[in-house]
Amino acid sequence: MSEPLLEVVGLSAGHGDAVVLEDVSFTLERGEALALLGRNGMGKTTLLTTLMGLTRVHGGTMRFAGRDLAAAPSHARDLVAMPTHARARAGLGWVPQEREIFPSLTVEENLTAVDVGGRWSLERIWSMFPRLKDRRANMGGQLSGGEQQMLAIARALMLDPALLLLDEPMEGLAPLIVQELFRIIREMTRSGDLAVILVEQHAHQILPLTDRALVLERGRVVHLGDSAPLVEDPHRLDRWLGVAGAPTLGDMPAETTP
Amino acid sequence: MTPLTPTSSDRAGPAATVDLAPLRRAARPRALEFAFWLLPVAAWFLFPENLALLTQIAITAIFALSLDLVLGYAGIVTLGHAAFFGVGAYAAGMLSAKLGIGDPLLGLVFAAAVSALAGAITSPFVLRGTGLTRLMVTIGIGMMLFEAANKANDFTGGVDGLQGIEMTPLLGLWSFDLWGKTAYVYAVAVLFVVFLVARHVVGSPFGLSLRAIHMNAARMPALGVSVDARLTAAWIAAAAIAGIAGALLTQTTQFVSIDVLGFGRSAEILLILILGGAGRLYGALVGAIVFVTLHHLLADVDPEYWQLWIGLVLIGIVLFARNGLMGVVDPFERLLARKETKR
Repeated sequence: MSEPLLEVVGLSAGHGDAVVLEDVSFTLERGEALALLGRNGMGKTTLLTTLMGLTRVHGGTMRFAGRDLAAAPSHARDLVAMPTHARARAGLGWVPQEREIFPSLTVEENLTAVDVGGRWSLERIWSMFPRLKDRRANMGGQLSGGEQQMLAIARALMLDPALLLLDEPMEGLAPLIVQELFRIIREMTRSGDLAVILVEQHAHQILPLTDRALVLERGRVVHLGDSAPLVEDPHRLDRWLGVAGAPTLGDMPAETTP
Repeated sequence: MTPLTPTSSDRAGPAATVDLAPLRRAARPRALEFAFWLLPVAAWFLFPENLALLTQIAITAIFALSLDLVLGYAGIVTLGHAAFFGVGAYAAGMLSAKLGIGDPLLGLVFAAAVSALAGAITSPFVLRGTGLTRLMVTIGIGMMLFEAANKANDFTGGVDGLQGIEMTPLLGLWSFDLWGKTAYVYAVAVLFVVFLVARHVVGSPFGLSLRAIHMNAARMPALGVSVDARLTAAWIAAAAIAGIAGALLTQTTQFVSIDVLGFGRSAEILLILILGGAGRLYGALVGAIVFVTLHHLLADVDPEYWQLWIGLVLIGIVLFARNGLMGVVDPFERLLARKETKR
């Protein structure tokens, strides 16, 4: 396993002519969990959507699982990009903040609609998300926000991803659901065969779940390193993330509440 | 590298008991479905004088099923679906009239293949646009084919229709009789097979993904689904089924009128599907039964102004049953589902 799962070099991308990400470089090994941190509007979500091929790439390269996601032939004006559906098939699973589950398909149908016959059977999904199993016959539109988030993650797993991109999965959810999601994400990251990029504003929540952390500021990488030292260094976090990085009562780690 | 293993032993309680609810859900409609498919058998005994009309219903139902796949499931609104019905009708007609091959099943396969080809050729144009643009393209394709058939009257017979079609006995056993017995059984059998295939397809991941595209196409690529590829496949499959319906009309009437390609047929089948309820398969069947029967009865009562009456009835039905006739059963389904979750 000499080649990393994901290798991003000198990536510049944005929407139309506007450049959001500038000269972003990082690598991710198979099974590694990366915390993607930064304040609002610093380019975290854009980095995920760029990996999915939903933005305009101005320069740089992205290699995933040995394939070029965007290669720049010298003569062409625009980059030749792998289409989004091919990226998803190649093992990039994306769970956007909006979740966007299908409201008039049942929970089970939401999952089977994208089934590719990978390692994630319905049974395996049910055992990881017992709450979804209880609601398997319910319409997607009848689920609570937390259940929708679980379904969105489960649906991405049905594509048998090698890398899961989670965009603020805890945002706006009740503490109990957040705990359950923590358990699920921990289960996924500890398994070793699924790499995760986890976007969060609340750094202290996810740093313990991840191996390394990448901090974006105005579209540039200002820090890339192991997660553990960051947990011990609230001052640095504070500088990059502002108050969002500091623990608040409602966001206490899962163990402290019953 | 240990694979993910379910570690939620504390959750084993509810997970360990066998959940029968999905089975019950699947079993309940099945009983109703059996009852529904007894209708064509009952009709055979109840209306032996009207087999030609019943055959029309079966053919219309196949055509409506085809439209349901593209409109009800894939969400492609088309007012040119008669193009494929007509291509199938002419393909089957010419196979017999020009090439002298009168085997009905061979004709069906041939018509389906030619219509599928027509679907493949037209799909890039139809799928390129969205909404009204797409609708315009479908109308345009329908109009062009109609004029092409009109112009090529050496091959198609133009407005006089295509004649000289002769069918050999079905499976070499049953010849097409004057009373239309063979034609009826043949059409119903084909309808049943087409329905089974359609039912299987819409329940498959492919069919679910079509509905998902209908709901949120922008979300699909990131879920590994190429929207264009799926819609193209649905379009071609529907074209083939419409071609089968057209071929059945040719084979059971042994004549092809240029009307098979007419705009009126495209509009009518859309009406039938909306009347029955789109996106539920049985809506297509019920719509065909009700519309063709109404048409027949009203034309009997008032041969001159039947369209006025059918228009009134249709507006009435659509006003009071917004999701089509099959939509009427929805509240009951919901009630049953609620009971089940309480259990």
